Amino acid sequence: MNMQRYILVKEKLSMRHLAMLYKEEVGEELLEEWMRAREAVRYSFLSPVVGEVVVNDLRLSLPYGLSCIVDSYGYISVLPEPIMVKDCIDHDFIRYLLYDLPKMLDEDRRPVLVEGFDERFTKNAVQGLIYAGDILKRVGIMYRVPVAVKYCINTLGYLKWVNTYIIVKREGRTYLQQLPENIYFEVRDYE
Amino acid sequence: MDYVMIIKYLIRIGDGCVLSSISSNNHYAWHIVNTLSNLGLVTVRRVSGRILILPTTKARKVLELYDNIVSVIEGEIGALHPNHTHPELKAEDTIESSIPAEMPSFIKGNPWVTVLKSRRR
Repeated sequence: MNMQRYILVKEKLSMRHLAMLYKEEVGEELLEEWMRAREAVRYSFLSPVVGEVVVNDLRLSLPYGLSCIVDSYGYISVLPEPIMVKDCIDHDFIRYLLYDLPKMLDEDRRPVLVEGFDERFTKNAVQGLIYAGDILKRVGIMYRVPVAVKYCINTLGYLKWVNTYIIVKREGRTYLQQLPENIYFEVRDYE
Repeated sequence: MDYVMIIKYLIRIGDGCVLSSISSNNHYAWHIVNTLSNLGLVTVRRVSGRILILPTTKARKVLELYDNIVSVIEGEIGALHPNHTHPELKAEDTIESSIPAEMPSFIKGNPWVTVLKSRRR
């Protein structure tokens, strides 16, 4: 099955892109195409893209799916060079996640990084974060790429993070904590 | 660390092993050893520059109990399915199991869902 076959609506959507959407998001006019797309990708798995969380000389694997990075010190970077979700807010942010990001991944599958995830909504912020997180989770699963969001508060119980990476400072030392395993790795600070 | 992980590493340590047998990641191996040591399950010895991890009597008791659990489970499975020795490998989940067709209840009624509809118009 050719996954790059596109369905023409007002704009082009790949099968994988369309199948990523919920029935309610698609609407009546695209329902038939959406069902075909779901069937087409049902057993069609892409090989997973594995990224890395890098802190100085420490490297941990970043599996595909939605992960959370809590790092107010700016230690953590992601490799290979991720697709950076552009600085947009509210409706533009949701539109970007639903339309533009999957299109970019249709062309080039790389890790995705969302900076300032908790500063993307000026109203209905909690609902916005839940919905945006759910879209990103679907993107990560459907395209099998790591999707990392940089987030200050990690309290949204609805979002099931694959992994959470937290920079912790304790007694003058820096650690990278990885959840859910709850493992601490000491980070060597460079002067 | 949960109990399953503790048993997993006690099995790996067996009658004793070097640190690198626990994990090739030195930080992580020490994390495991320290956790098990705090629970009184292993002791650490340095012999000729090598770090040996040895199980305590308590660890051996835990492994004995684990063996009993395994024999009970295998006995039951064997009684139900005489030819069954190991669970069958499952095919990978389908997309449906990861991304449901219908919106989950926690998103229904979310004001941001209307974005898509406005885009279509």
